[in-house]
Amino acid sequence: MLAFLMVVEDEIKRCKLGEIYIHYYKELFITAYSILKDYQEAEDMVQNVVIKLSNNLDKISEIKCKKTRSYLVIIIRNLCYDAYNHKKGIIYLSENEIEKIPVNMGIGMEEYILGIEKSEKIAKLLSEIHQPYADILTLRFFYQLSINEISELLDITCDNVSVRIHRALNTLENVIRKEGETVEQRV
Amino acid sequence: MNKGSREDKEHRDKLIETLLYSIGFDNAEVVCEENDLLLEKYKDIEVPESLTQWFEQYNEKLELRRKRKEFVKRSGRFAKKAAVIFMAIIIGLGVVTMSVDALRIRFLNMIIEVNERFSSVEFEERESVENTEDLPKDWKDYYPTVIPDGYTLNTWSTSSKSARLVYSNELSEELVFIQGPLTGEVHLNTEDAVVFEIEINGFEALMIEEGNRIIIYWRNDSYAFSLKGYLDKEIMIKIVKSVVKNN
Repeated sequence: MLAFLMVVEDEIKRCKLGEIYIHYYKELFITAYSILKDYQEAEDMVQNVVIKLSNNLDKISEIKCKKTRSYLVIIIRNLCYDAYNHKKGIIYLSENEIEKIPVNMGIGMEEYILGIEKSEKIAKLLSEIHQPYADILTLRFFYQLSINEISELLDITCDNVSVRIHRALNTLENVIRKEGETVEQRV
Repeated sequence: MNKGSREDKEHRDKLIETLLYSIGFDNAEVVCEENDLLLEKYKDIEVPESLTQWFEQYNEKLELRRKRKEFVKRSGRFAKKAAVIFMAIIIGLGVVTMSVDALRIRFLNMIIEVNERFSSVEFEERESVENTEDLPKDWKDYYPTVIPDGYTLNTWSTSSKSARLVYSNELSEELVFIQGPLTGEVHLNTEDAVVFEIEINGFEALMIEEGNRIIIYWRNDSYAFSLKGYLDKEIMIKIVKSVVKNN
């Protein structure tokens, strides 16, 4: 097995996709398996991610870095969550609830931002919002992907992407408000 | 006031953008940390060999597709260059041909020759006539003014190099008069023939007797002529001496 993989590695390392695969295939498989608990499904999911990546290779500038690593993990784990929910008959978001994204967040958020001194505050925020929300915000605002690109990567409609971002922003705003109220009460 | 509001809004948008970017950045860190734990937890898991085999095949397909695309692209570029070079050569040759006198004349001569051959054929096929009693209206060459009784103009033809009049009688005996420019050599078959040297209009001439047939070759300042027929020598000479140019 190891010898086979070493031979294959030499062959496929020549291209960018090959290098990404060699570097991350195990981690992607483990991430998928940890959610789906099924070898075959995890394998299918890794294949799905590789196919998607082959069409969006320009989004990856450096292969061995945290940014690329988390990008791949976010894609595969969100695909797995959807597959898992689909299997269990859970409807995560209904498309008829689509609302336009209000980017003009309240003044509370602005004050909060101005009050940020340490990154622990952001870490706290992250811990309080649903992980898929954090992931969708990361894809949109950190990786600067368009709604279309996210829709292609996560196999969901553009409307669904918009709804998720909208809800993630609402949740974030609520968390910030609550935190502000707690501070006022303490004062 | 308005300007201030717009600036405030821009400032707020930038701050929010920065916050969201920071959240994304931190989330990426958290994802890596969480996955470190996950990798530790599932470190003994064996990834199916079929996954790498699948990738190898998939990657080969991608590589083939990429090479094909590159080939098509390169071929397109090459074809464009080849077309430009070909056009340049054609234009260059055209310019050289037309600017060098010797080449231009040869080129034009070739065209003229081809056209002459063509028109000659066409002329004979379309304009040859039968049983013409008089000369053709547009005949501008020489012709015999004396024609023995019983002979009528049967066919005629003309080109830039020669003109030909054929007369015949009821017995289908032909009297053939041919004229052409006085250039080059004439090869005569005199085997089993009697050759006489005679004089026609002050120029040397040849009369060849082949059995019943008489052939006379003569010339003037610029043309050579021949007359073939089955008549007496004297009548043949009379016909030859009667040849004049039609005006």
